[in-house]
Amino acid sequence: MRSNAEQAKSWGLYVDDQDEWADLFYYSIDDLHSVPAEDLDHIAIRGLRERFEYLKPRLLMLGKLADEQGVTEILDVNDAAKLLFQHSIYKSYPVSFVEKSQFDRLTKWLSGFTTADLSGLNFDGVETIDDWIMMLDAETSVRVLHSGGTSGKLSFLPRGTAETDLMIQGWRLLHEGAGPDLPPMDEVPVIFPAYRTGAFAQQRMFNRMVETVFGGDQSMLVALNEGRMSADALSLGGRLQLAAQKGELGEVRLSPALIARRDEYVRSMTEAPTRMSDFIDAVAKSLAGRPVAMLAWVGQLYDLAQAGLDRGLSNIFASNSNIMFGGGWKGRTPPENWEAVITGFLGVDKIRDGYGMTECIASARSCEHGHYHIYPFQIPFVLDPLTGEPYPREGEQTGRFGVFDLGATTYWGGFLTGDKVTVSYEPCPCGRTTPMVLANSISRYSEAEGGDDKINCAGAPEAHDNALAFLMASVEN
Amino acid sequence: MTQYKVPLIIRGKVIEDYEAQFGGRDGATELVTPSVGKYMSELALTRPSAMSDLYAISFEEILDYLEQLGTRLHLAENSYVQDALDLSLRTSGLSEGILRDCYANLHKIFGKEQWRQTVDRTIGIDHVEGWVEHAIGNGGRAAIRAFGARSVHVIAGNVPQVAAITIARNAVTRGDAIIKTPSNDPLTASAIARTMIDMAPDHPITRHLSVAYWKGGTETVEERLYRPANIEKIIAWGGFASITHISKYLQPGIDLITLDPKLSSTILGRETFADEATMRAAAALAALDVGVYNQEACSNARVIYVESGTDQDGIDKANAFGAMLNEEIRALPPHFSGPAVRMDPALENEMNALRLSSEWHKIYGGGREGAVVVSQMDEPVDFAKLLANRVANVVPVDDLEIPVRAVTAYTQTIGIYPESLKAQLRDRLSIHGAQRIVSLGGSGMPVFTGPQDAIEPMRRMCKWIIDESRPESYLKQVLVKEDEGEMA
Repeated sequence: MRSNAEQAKSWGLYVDDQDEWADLFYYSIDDLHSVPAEDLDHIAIRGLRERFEYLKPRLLMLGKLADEQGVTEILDVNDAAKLLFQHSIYKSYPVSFVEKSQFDRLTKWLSGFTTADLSGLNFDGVETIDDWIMMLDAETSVRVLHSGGTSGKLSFLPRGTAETDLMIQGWRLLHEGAGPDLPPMDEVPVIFPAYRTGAFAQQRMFNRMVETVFGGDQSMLVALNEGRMSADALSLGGRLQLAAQKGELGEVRLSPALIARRDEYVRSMTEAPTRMSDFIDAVAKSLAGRPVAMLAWVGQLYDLAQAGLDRGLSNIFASNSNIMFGGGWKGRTPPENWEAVITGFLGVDKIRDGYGMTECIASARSCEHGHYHIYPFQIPFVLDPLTGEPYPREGEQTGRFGVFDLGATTYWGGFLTGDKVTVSYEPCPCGRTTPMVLANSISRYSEAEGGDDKINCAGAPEAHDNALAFLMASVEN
Repeated sequence: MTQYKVPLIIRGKVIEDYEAQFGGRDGATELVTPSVGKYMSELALTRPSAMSDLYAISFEEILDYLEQLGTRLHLAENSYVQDALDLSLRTSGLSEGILRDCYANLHKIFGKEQWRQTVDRTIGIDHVEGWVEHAIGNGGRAAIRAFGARSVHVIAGNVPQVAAITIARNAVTRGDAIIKTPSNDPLTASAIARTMIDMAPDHPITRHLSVAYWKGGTETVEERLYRPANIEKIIAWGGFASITHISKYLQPGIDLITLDPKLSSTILGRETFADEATMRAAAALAALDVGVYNQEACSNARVIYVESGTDQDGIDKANAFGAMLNEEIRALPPHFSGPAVRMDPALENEMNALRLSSEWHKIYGGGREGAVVVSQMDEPVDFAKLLANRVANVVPVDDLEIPVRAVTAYTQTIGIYPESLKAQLRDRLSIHGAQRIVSLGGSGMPVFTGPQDAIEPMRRMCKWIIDESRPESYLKQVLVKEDEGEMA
């Protein structure tokens, strides 16, 4: 298991040798899913205690939550259920900070969620969210992740450099789980049908992989769009909705910096249709027959595969390729033959989806029986959706899903999602010992039931396009 | 799971073959109703001539009918009203004390003098009773009369009065109403309709009221009902979803009258902060606007702008006012306002997040009793549209320009203090979109003789018919070349 840590170091990734819990990320996937149940409990309780004791005095927001909930120590794993952050907390800043470019105030808000020192920063020239994120990248150890903003406001999660490097171990686990005869991950190019750069979790991870795992070889990451996905463009649609509620006061003032980038946005938009076909042609040509890795949202993957088949392309890649997808269909009805379209185009025998969220450093891939096994470094909670009380950690439990990610060392790893799931602590016929989110048990609580947008980027490509369409129209006017 | 029977009432006939089931809004209540689609041919009034019986009775007789109906609607004596209350206790967002008070006073809505005055002010009794003539020049005369229309009323269920007012409005305008009841108040309209049937089964007013429940958007019902051959007007209260369903069926021949959801706010001038007693008095009045009907109505105060200033002194004043407002909300009597029946989880999420993470907001109170969020800057919370469960947001400003410019087409009522500020602001507020300006504390007491949501629904519910008379000699002038004729 340490060999993975040694390899990570050799790539230049940060490895904390002292941290027992982060160390779990370097195990092989088979080892992780063979940990006996009693050891899982042991990891959970000790890990939670240690994280809580360390982070409570260092994270303002955690301290406040613990005080409010009257939690002074964690005696039982379920005690931590009271300390899961609602997803709404990462967008609890006033949106006027963004509208009025008050990024010093936004930073102050963010500093309550991270152990990083965000004082003494220079905000000269920081006018947009993109400016702000890039300034934090350059000046601090915080690597902000943001959501798709479909609800009208972007969530900001202050992941640090340490956890960003751990994300690559999350990718390694998916890679290992894809099949035994796949070459090591540093030899397998990644296809990512989205913007190459930006502050979505996957963009952070893949770009860090290019820098380290791929030794700076940009060609190992094949993106649909070479540009940067703009958080400002994404947030614009949401800000417009909010602005409309504010009457004339809310008339959107497009910052000069945003307008200055207009040409780039507009070009990226008008080129979209050809870009997709160019992309298909390019990967078919350069990567044909090779094992590849790919991460996509299922609806997008289907569209891509269908477009490829329409161009007469099929069975493009090696059959042992690592194809990972998730994200649901976003209101579309899945075509009956969707799976055959995707496998037929890609040339793989079958595809298995995953379950993950920006808040978690690693995502889970479904097992042979369709269940999503939870890594030992992620502690699941199932809560009564009405009372918020945690259900017992045994048998099968259905309710609101919460998770604590022991990989988080600079921010609080506990999150409450808006997902309704069934978690089973019973043995799985696949033989893995870890608890699992059962196949086909995941749905969203409606807003009325307390569901909302978790930090999720699945709806984002569309939101981005809508925002760009608005930007074009507003500038033309 | 408790089951409630919601009958289908079609023009004096009570239909009780219950076969359709619906979940009530609380999840523990189930509604069973007859299948409306099955009775569509009866429900739709395809023959306009069937309206003529309404013209055989006088306006005075209609008022007598309503007055008599009122006497039969006393909660203690009317089992239909008791059932409606019983079900509302499960489905409504109003707390028990308010609901009991609403139903105990339901009969008062049908007072004769009140409706005489309302019709006189909004339509004109003479226009309801006959043709009103006036000269139109050149020896011509026009006669105008307000006729009743065949209408579907998609009513709101946040307060039970909506059902009662709709029935009375339909009666005084001589309309034929099909009331589509809402899932949060499925029984009040039918309780009144059944009382009417027991009282006067063959009376034209009884015979021109139908009450049905179907799930909004049910195509098998709406596609067949919303046709110009069946109805002339749709009067739709309610949210975006309800209007979206209806808009599919709009076509020439159907007039849509929307009484759509709105949000209301409050503006308190700097005089509020003259001294502590004045602040306390204003807080007590503002609490009425926040708390009335448990903040379930569109007229309730949500964002409260205060001209306290935004320097430290101003913020301190706003905070002191917020603390007082929170106390006053909690002190409201239970027949008027109570703790939240159902907490809105989306609002709770936002409040929890704000409580933990924001140093730009101070929260007084919390939980089912309500809360006051005081912004520590001149911006409302981003989730202002979710404010409910007696949660208000006090926003300090330096300048009343801010609240004036924050008014939108979605603004309904604005409560203002002091009184003198109203005259100063009302033109500008109206231009920006406000529809009703009230003395602070008066948001829950609408003037029934006045307009509603910037329209006059009573007038709009009528069909306005004109009979134009011209002397033959004048009509023939068109045959004369223009330069020879006189100007009309």
